[in-house]
Amino acid sequence: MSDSLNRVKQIISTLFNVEEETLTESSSTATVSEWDSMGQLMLVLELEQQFDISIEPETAEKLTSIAAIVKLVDNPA
Amino acid sequence: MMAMNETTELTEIKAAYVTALAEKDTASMLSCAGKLLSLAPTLGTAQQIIKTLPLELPKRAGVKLRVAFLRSYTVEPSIPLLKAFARLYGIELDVKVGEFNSYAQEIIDPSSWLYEFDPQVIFFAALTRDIAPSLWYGAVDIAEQDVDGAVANTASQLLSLVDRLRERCNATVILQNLEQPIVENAGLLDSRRGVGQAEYIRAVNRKLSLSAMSQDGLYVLDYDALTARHGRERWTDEKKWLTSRSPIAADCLVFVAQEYLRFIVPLAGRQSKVLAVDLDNTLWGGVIGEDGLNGIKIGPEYPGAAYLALQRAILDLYDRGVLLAICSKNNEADALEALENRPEMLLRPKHFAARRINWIDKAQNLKEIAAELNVGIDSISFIDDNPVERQRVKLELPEVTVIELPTDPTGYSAALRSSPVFERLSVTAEDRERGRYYSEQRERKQLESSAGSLEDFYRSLEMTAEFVDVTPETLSRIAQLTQKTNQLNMTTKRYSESEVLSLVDDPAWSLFGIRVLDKFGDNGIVGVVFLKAFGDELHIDTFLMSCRVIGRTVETAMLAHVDEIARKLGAKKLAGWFLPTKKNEPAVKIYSGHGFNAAKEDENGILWELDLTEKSIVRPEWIA
Repeated sequence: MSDSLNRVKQIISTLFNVEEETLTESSSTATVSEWDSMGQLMLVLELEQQFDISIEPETAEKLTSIAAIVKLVDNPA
Repeated sequence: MMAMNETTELTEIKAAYVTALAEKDTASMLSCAGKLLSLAPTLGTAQQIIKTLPLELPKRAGVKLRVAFLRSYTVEPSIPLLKAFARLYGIELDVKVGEFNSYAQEIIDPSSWLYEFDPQVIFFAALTRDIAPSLWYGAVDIAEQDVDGAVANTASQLLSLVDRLRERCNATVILQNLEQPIVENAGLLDSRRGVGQAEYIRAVNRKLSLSAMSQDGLYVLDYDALTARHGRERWTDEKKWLTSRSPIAADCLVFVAQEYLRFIVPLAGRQSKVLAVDLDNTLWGGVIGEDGLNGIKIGPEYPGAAYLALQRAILDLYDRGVLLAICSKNNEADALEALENRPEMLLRPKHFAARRINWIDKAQNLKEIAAELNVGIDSISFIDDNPVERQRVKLELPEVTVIELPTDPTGYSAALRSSPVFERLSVTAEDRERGRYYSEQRERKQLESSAGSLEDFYRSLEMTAEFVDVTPETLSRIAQLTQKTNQLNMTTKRYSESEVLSLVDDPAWSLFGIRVLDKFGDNGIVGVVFLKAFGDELHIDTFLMSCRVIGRTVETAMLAHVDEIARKLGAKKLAGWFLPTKKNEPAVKIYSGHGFNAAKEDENGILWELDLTEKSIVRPEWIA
């Protein structure tokens, strides 16, 4: 399992109050209840700080699953 | 900026936090939490601290505050950070946020969530573009003669809402002022016009400040200065503003949270009363015992200038009413010689209310300083260049606020100045004079040991008591005493200035303060009593006294005055709760010592009653 996946799981777990063990790559806005639109903003701010990247609005919209986030932080545009 | 991979230091502290959590080692958790927030002030860090860091410490009770945000933009991302920082100071915040740009309706509608929530603190956070769109989006060009009217108009739109808000609730209101744009819309021409955008915004802000200055419980948060301090370019995230109405860049959220905290800490009564300072390599460069009087570095030239800047910052705190103490491992004679005889020193022995210059453990010395100055250990802050000493104090006395210093002395003064524990929302005459009171008290103590019987001692003090009402002159001191007094306090109820004012208006309540003078000087207002009438019973809601006058029968004079008021009102009975806390043990015998009987006891405390038809309390003959 990649280091990025672990870190992203950790972020999702603390931001949205879910147990880290229950998260998988396919966890998404549909499966995590606190991951709403305000949650999405918090998530983007957190990713920008933790990974020192800047996320475009167009990209931010698509970050709706753990898999999508891992893909982004592994290959920041 | 944080790199892609976490630094080793951060990883280690995260691991240490988790270990401390598992071991329930609160002191280590608190220490790690502080470091985590300074190294990685992110929402994730904040959430973890809010969820896991305990609110209470052995000698520090938690404080809870209800905080409301009225806002025009997305303030949510800074709130977890604010809550996490507050938690470090033993404050739990219950935060509710209004709808976007609905502040006017929320204020005007008496049945809105705002009044239902009954907040103790309200942050009014609106951006210039939302409050005054024409001021933000267009080029401003107003003829000189029209400026006053136009400025008053803009300011009063905001101030009349604040007035309405304050009529409806007692919360302390923190009003953000208007921020300047990054670049004026008219470019360089802005300053060539009658009155342009920049000058107009300054004028409106000046109006807001003047209005707040004349009102108790209304304060301005200088949002314009905050954005300027960190740079408006860096502050602004235009993309997030346009997509999520969130105008602040991710790495600046921490600064907003810290700015809110500067208000929250004093409003929660969590400010430090005492700053204990180390000497060698803190107040001056070098070690006095080794380098000698002329070898230590202090003065206008670098590196002495860095230490001089710290001394200046400490002197500013002294002027705010913070008591100073020395806690240093040194030979006392060497250290005092430096403080007395180096001409460049700003701080002199007279500035320090207590001194522990010896070779004993600093935690022990800090405990003694707290005892000598009659303050709780959680009212002490400590500054020391040596990280080992700081860590030792943090683990031994987690209630003490340890100011983190950078390794470079040029950063010392900024580190001290940025701590929220020294913030005061108002400074009373008593605050300014506090340092002097303590040196007078030292003389009094000497007198006590030379006097014969206690009564002789009381007489020798030549005390005079004066009972004062709540007036514009006494209000801030009276509210401050309810917020800061922990030991001689029967119920430990905290009241803001606005809450005190609302009691004054209520005919069921009688409020007074006591001012005590003695042969050494004026002690100022040292006690506060709030009474509420219920039929033929007079209920003592608040009865407190500053430790400055402990053991001098001032409480008897206060109770005698209560007795007098009760009889005037036709009351037959006095009743007052004693609600024990971790700190008010010294107050436990006040009611029983004056003939009150325990009438009721529950898990919160004991209700004491005095039958006025059978007993009375008289003023001691030695207090005129």
